[in-house]
Amino acid sequence: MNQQQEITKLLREWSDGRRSAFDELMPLVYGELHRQAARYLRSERRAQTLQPTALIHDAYVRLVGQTGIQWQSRSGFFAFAARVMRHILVDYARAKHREKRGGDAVKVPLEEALLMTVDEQDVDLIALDEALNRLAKIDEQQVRLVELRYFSGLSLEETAEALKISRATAARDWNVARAWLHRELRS
Amino acid sequence: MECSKGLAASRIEELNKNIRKMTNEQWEQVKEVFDAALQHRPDERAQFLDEVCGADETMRREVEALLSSFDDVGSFMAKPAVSITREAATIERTSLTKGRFLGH
Repeated sequence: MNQQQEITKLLREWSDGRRSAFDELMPLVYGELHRQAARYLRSERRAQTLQPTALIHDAYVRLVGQTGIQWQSRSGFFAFAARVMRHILVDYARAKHREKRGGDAVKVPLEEALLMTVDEQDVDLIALDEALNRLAKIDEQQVRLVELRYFSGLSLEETAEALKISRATAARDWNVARAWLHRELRS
Repeated sequence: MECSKGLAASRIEELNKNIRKMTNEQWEQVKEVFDAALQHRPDERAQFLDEVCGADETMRREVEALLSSFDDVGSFMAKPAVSITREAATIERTSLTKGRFLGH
């Protein structure tokens, strides 16, 4: 089995519920996201914003390529990448919270960093993470939807396709999720 | 769970209790009613909820709480959590400013 096949297999296992698949896949996916981000930042392109969707897509092409059923493994990969992003961001927020007395953000040289600017609205990521864990007990699918939309940056159409629900349901659930999370975070 | 504000913590507790009481089916109904309520004009919502929720206080409370939150959700989570910009790379190299840049 080559690496692409191995990764497709792990993605399938993870989405089937094997949690240890996450630990195996995480460094691979994170590493590739990092490589793609660094490649973008080094490029000659004029200053513009790279959406996470484009980044994840490039990583997907590299890691999974043509193996597996095209759109199914693609949406599985996006779901996984969303979980990776969430994990990284929350870890970072916790570390920063512990260092808060120091003041300045932790700086890491360009070559080693996965450089991202966090959402301008200054969402409390730790609180959001905890709220998502609570929401998962009520509605697992809704959490996946939030991850795909918010962490992977997928459109409503793409999210609906990935979750195999109608666009109308995706739109509805996204509104409910935002309302629910907004309430949780401001209380 | 970390409790930093007395009021906030007890409020969260109360919300959690309400949520645990709800079944999957009830939650699906809450979502449907919320969605339908949004199709009505704000001044018509109370009547709509009267009709749909009837005596179901729990459902009504949940839907109203969601509607109220949604009314001022504004730009909350409207954009993806992260974006990657070339500016970030430049600033990272030269500045001493506090930033929300992720170094990992």
